[in-house]
Order: sequence, then C-alpha cells, then structure tokens
Amino acid sequence: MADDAGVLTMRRFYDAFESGDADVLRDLLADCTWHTPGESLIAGTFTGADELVARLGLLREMTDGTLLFYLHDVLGDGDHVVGLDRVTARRGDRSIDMNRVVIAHARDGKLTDVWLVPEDQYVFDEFWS
Amino acid sequence: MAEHPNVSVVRRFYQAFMARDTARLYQLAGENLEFHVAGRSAFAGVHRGPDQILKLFRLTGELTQHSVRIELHALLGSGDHVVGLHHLAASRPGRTLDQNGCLVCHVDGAIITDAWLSFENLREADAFWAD
Repeated sequence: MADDAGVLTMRRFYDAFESGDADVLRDLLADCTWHTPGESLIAGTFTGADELVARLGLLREMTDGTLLFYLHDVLGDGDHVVGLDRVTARRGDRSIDMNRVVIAHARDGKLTDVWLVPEDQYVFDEFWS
Repeated sequence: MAEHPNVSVVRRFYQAFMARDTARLYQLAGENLEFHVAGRSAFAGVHRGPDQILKLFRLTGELTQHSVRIELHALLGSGDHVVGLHHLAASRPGRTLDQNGCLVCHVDGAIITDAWLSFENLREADAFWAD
C-alpha cells in the first residue's frame, strides 16, 4: 500500500530535523500550530515557521546538540497522521529517553496542527523545566 | 479500501468497551496483553491479561457511575501498529473528565498484545482518577 501524502509529509519533517535543513522545516511548518502539553519551559502553543523553527533551534541549544528523534512508525488515514517516535537528549546531568505519540494534520505537503503526547508527562516536564 | 484486519480488531475492542461486552473484550484481549495506562493514578501502570483489564474497566466504571464515554475519532493502521484517536468523557461527583486521548496497540492475529493509553492532559486525568 502506498504511503499517503500525510505520512510522507511527516517523514520529511523528521528527515529535515535530523539533517538540520531549516528551509525544508520552514516550508513544512509555514501554516502549523504546534501544541506541546505540560508545564515545562517548552510547553505551550506555537504558530508559524519563524516561531517553530526558532523553538526547534532552542531545543537543540538547551540539549547541547544531543536531541535525537527515532521514528518508529508513521500512520496515516488521509485525515490524520500519527508518528510514533522515541526522543533522547541530555541537559547537563539530566537525560531523557521516552516514547511519544505525535498526532498531526497535514495538508498540501505541510503540517498544519501538531499535538505531542509524551509517554510520561511528569518526567518530560522535569527534563524540560 | 478495505480496512486492515488489525484496525478492525482494535475497532471491535472500542465497540466492545462501549457496549460493555465483556465476553468480546475477553476474546480481543490476548492472554498476555499488557495494557499500559499513563500517569500516576491508582489505575496507572500495566494491567496484564484479560482478567486485570476487565477489572480495570469494572473499577473505573463503578467509580464514574458508568459515565465513561469514548468517541472514536480515527483509527490508523500500519503493518506494526494500530492507533486510536478518541475523545474521553466521564464524571464523578464534583469532577469531570473531558479530553482527547489515544491508544497505541500491537495486534497479533485477532488479539491485541500490547496497548498504551495516553491522555492529552495527563495532570487533569490523574486528578480526575485520584481518590
């Protein structure tokens, strides 16, 4: 079965993050509203390429370049796209190694809404506090 | 396009949950099913096998006077996973739960072998389920 367009869009996002391709990230996130749950420094709702690409850069800085996403699987139904990933990173003497569900809408090759669901919100918030 | 058989298994699981069809739930829950509930509440953690899972559903049903309602938004499948996106509503005296959630599953044949239940707002969910 061919991957649907949303699945390909989600895979492009992970590839662009890994390779640090800001131009592709800007294109993918141009119309995006991104929801990060919880009570940490990185929690909140963020919109548009400028803000989101800057936030991704900030996450890299906060983790001294150790932030990695391993994409387990991507599922699409034409309406939603779901990425199942594992995030690892270090901040000083803190580390995180956690599965996440990344729920998104995609349209015309862009991610339009993203909701992160970390496996353990409390550990996630402690790491990013 | 015909629905992937694994997706159908999880769809039947949701339907059986809403219908409180314990016989059907028993069939769909593998003997070694590990059902993981996110959070820190009394219900959080791993529930193993149909007996523990049915007990989880019975206790949460009693606590909420059987007000738990799950509305399935979407079910997505790949070769390895099925993911349900749903809305969960429930009430207890003085408390309500009303938020989106998701269920990530592994399916093997006609049974679910692993499931991870997550909440959009885990702190609110834990507060709802707290004693």
